[in-house]
Amino acid sequence: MFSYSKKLQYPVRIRRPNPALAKIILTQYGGPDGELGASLRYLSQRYSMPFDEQKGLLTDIGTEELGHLEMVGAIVHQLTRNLKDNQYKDPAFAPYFVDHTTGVYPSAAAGFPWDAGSIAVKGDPIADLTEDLAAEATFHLVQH
Amino acid sequence: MISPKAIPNPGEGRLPSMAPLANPYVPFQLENPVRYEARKGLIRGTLYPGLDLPLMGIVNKNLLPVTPLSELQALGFAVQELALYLDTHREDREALELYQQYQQRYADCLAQNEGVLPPMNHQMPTDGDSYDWLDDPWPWEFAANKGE
Repeated sequence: MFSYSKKLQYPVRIRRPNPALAKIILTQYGGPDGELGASLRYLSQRYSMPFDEQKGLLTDIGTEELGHLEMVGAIVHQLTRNLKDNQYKDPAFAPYFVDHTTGVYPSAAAGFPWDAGSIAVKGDPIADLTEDLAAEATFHLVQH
Repeated sequence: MISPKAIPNPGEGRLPSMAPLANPYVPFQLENPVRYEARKGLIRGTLYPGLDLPLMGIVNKNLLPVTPLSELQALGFAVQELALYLDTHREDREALELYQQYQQRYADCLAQNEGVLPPMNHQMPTDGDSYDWLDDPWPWEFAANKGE
């Protein structure tokens, strides 16, 4: 089971809101290479893993990714807090604001909602671990 | 007429019969890797200097404010990093000892700051006549993460 720990893995403190940046960071939350996909990928792949190392590693990494999800959510939240009137109307943020106001909705920067089509769970250790390598490589692209 | 030799059999051809499709190269983390201390590990995002390969050379230079919460975060990060290492190196006794030391330091940090730190989870015993779980700030809020 999972139980909540009432602290972030690493502190998030953002003084100045920046809705345009929030819109970009949001893809790390619920985009195709985001933390939600990462945690569900690992936590779903672990059931068909044959060895203890893989079961342990995917459980621990998948759990840590949920902690990352929370930090990214905190970043998006703090980048959109106390917005002034002209900031809502920032063309980069206005379409998101119309649908979600300042809620943190798991979606990609381009607006489409999180989709399990961006992860793979094949029940085959080699296929799944190879997908994990590819996924970790794309995380780097997103962070870039 | 086609000679029987013109019809290839499976496994025939230019490659050796046992040729691999591909040669994967995965650099494994070696036994007993060098480690940062917990706080530096949390700031750098890894406990292991050998894995500290920042993308585009961008390094987090923010120092964490020294608070009971950041101490707990640093110790928790060290436990987590050692757990991930031990998941694939369960025979490394030295890493196991360090993992156990950090577990103890995490528990000590919680005990020493009882009443200072808010309840971290529902399982940890609490006393008093108020339900402090609901107290602001929540972790994602700016106020929960200010320094000093």
